[in-house]
Amino acid sequence: MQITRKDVLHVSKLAKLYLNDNEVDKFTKNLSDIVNFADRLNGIDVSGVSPTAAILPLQNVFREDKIEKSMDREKILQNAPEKSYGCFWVKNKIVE
Amino acid sequence: MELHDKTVHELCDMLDNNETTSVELTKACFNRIKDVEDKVQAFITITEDAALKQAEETDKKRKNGEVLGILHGIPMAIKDNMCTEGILTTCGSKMLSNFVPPYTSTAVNKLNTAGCILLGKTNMDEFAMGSSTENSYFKKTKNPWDLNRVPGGSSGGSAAAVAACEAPFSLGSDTGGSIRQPAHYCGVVGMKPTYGSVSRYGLVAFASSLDQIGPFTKDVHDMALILSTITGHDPKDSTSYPREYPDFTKALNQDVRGMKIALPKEFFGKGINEEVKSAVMNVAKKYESMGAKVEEVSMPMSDYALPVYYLIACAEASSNLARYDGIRFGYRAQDVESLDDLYKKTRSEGFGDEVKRRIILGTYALSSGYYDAYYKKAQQVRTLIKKEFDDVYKNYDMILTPTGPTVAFEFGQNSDNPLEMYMNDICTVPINIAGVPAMSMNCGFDSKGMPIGMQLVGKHFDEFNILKLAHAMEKELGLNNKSKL
Amino acid sequence: MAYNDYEIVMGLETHVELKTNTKIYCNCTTDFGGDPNTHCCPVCIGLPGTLPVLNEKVVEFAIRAGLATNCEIQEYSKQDRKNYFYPDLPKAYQISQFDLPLCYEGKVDIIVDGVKKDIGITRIHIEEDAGKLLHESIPGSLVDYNRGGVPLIEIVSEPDLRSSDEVKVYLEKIKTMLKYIDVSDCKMQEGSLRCDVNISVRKHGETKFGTRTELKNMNSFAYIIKAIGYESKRQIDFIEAGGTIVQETRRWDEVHGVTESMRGKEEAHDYRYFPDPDLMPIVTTKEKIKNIKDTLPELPEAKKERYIGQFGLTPYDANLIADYKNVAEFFETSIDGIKTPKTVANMIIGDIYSRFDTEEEKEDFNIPVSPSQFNELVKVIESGMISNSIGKKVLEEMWETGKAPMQIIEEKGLKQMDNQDELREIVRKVLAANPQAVEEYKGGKEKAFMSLVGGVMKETKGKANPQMVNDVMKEELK
Ligand SMILES: [Mg+2]
Ligand SMILES: [Zn+2]
Repeated sequence: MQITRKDVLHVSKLAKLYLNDNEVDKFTKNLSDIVNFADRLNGIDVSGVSPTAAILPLQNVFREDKIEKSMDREKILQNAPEKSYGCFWVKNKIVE
Repeated sequence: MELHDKTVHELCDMLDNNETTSVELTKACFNRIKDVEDKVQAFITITEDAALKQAEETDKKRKNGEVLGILHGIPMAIKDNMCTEGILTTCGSKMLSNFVPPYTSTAVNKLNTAGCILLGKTNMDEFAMGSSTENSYFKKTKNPWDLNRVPGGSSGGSAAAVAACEAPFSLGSDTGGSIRQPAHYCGVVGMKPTYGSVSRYGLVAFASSLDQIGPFTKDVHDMALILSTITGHDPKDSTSYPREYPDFTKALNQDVRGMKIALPKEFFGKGINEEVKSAVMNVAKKYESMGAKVEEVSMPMSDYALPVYYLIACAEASSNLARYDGIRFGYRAQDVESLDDLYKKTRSEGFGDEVKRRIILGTYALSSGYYDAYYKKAQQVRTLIKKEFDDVYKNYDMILTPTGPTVAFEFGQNSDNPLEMYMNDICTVPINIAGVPAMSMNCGFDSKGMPIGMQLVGKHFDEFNILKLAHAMEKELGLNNKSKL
Repeated sequence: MAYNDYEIVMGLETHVELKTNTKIYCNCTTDFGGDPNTHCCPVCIGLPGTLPVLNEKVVEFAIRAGLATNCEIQEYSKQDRKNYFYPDLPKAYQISQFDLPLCYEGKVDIIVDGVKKDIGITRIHIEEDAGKLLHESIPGSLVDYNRGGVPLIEIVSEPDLRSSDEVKVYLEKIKTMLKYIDVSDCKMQEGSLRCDVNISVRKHGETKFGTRTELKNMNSFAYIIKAIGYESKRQIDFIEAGGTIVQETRRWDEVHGVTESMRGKEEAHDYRYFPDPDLMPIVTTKEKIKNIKDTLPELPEAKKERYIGQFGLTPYDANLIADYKNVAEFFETSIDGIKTPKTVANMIIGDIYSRFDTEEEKEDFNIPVSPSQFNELVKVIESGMISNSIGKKVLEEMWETGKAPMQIIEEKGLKQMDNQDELREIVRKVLAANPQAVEEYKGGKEKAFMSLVGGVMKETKGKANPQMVNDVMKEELK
């Protein structure tokens, strides 16, 4: 599988990352190496093998529907880069 | 022997016998930190004032006959990816260089409740991505055995802090070897418990289905003590496994006769350094002489573990690290033109190279058109790898391997070739994929005097037998595994 | 113009907030409102290191909804991450369900213009709600995460809807149903029921679907109907002018009365769904489904059938009562021991509904008359002690004063007059006073008879037993 600069640029858009030309080159090469390496999995017959999402046989892990006190707003907002009116503040216009 | 050189169980005895106090211990640790931290660079944050205050309170409680637990008054260091309320938690990243969590992780909470005293938060590869701690935004931690070498990673700070006797014990996290590999490089004991046995609540996620918290200690006895304290079911973590967790100190001083140990030949093959190999083979022979049965087995699927690991870990990471968007916490880029610009600038400036590389790989593996070929395929092969472990455990109690292919390498040696760097994880990643417990323990030294680690890999929730075999070998080998620092 | 040549094809994705006490993955309250960011904790603002734990009630409620819409319940279901960046989405992924939703392949039937039609339900899945963006008089936006993590079910219909009438009836049906089974308040004004409308057009007789657009986040019936009207016309005009519809998301602009493209937000949308490794599978056994089924109330459809078959209500009346949970409850309590439940239905529909101004009042059915008082009133009417028309007066008095019907009847002396001798006296008096009407009646004018009866009723202030008046009058006129 050949990874192209275009692939890297597309993926970086999805991941919300800016990459300069050097980075695109570097990541294209790194990604190609790794993906080629991963292509060795193609040799394995996995027909009928179900994917393992969780390693432990746990199911129906539930919580009781009981209210607990929420956290003080001061603490909720304590790490906000910017805040106003008790809210997290994004100064840029948000296109809906 | 000075206070800071002692093991946790020795210190516990001294505290119990009123031969020392928590304040004295804590001060001894900070003195040691003052002496060696310039060289080792194990810590990102040191919490001296709070620690001394807490030590005083702990001593007061002890005087009043109120002993919280077996670890009452013992200092500790915590990897900087476990949330600590009111204390900076950076994950070794510029992105979280200003993040002060309003809550504490369950594992740290358990230790706090048991009476432990936090000395500080240790250095790590950014977001636990790396095998050398060179990917930290803040500093490069040095290997206490040779300051020109890396301590391993990603929990390099926690391993080095214990190896340099700055802390009696520490916690790290292990996604693909991030506890065991630095334990191997630094000559200490490091355990990745069974997935689900230590709560992940408050551990900043790298790869959720692989991450697990575990301790670094100076010896096996200490490992049993700390493990007994941090394991347990946590209703705040849906992947935490509800069961009885034993008192692991009962595994000490037990007979290992009749135990069946498997040596998978794939873990001793190409790329494994000869000195490393012979140190581990020496251990195998000794187990045999102690009455255990040791046999070679084959685990061919383990050859696929590395690609499976990188696909799964990076895919999960790409999603776990999406929340670093500059809106609610952490770094936010300045002078941005739009919301999209805010996201991209924040993330491009806040993350380092290795993190970006893995986010890009993970995003690619999940993106439309590639999901089946990469992510899903990796999850299917994961099933086969797990099955291979299950099959071995039908006939054996334990698997013995080297912890890594080589001893600690020098700075910069692998840093420009990610794939070569990833090869350092070949002995450790299969374990995370299968979710089984594994421990690294020093089993000798190479010709240059660098420590070599052996890895004991047990069945799910069989930390008990790992400790049993490890303790027996520790006594048998009788190594002096203190760095000369 | 060619609008009539086209048919509109629509499918709905309806998002409904469940009325659990706590959020889907943490113990914060789901209460509506509250100061911004006061119903929040590290989990629901997605702080690093936090983990979700699923609220058991969410699964139960979703399965209730599935059973009520005739869905199959997935035996092995899982939760997946839907990855995209937006400030109201704290983790930059929404926990939702992708390929194994909790419920699938159901249907509900709707009646439009007297014709019954099945609308397929593709699936019902659980997911978390996002926070809210507030636009104060400062630059940019403020983010409030109180709503973030409130549990939702998303009900996805098949593209079976063909008109805005059908959409409206379908949505009302869903709303009634969910309130009935007590899983949601469905308060559209609070945003607890919102829907996305997938809409396309095609020429009648065409079997392939046209390209659809998606109208996002509609939370009022009025807007939905207007938006469908506008969007379907826009598509037809566009096609007629030789254009090709592009698949896209559009937004209803209420101010200008148009739909507009939201492509700005959509650039590069590839949600990269994958199973959430922080959450374990949901496995539903047949036994669990049965247990949930056993707790379900009788659904409107079954009630209607029963009202028609057992109580002799007309389908129209049965609908008007069974559709509202509180009304149905009131009806069923107040017909206890009554011979003609139809009278009760008539009084509810005629005399009680007329007092309401809004649909909400009807739904709430919070009235000052208790079912037992109402039952007493109907019994009194049935016994012949008072007439229907006096009954109306008594009900009015009950409504104003809260007094029991018998008390009112006694205090006001409203008991029906059914002493034949007494009545005959009065009839004779009326006949004597109206010789002309008597003359006309005998000449064959039926109307005159009615006016004579009216005279008797007037004389008795409506208390006379009407049947008896009739009989006596006829005898006297022979
Ligand atoms: Mg949805
Ligand atoms: Zn919350």
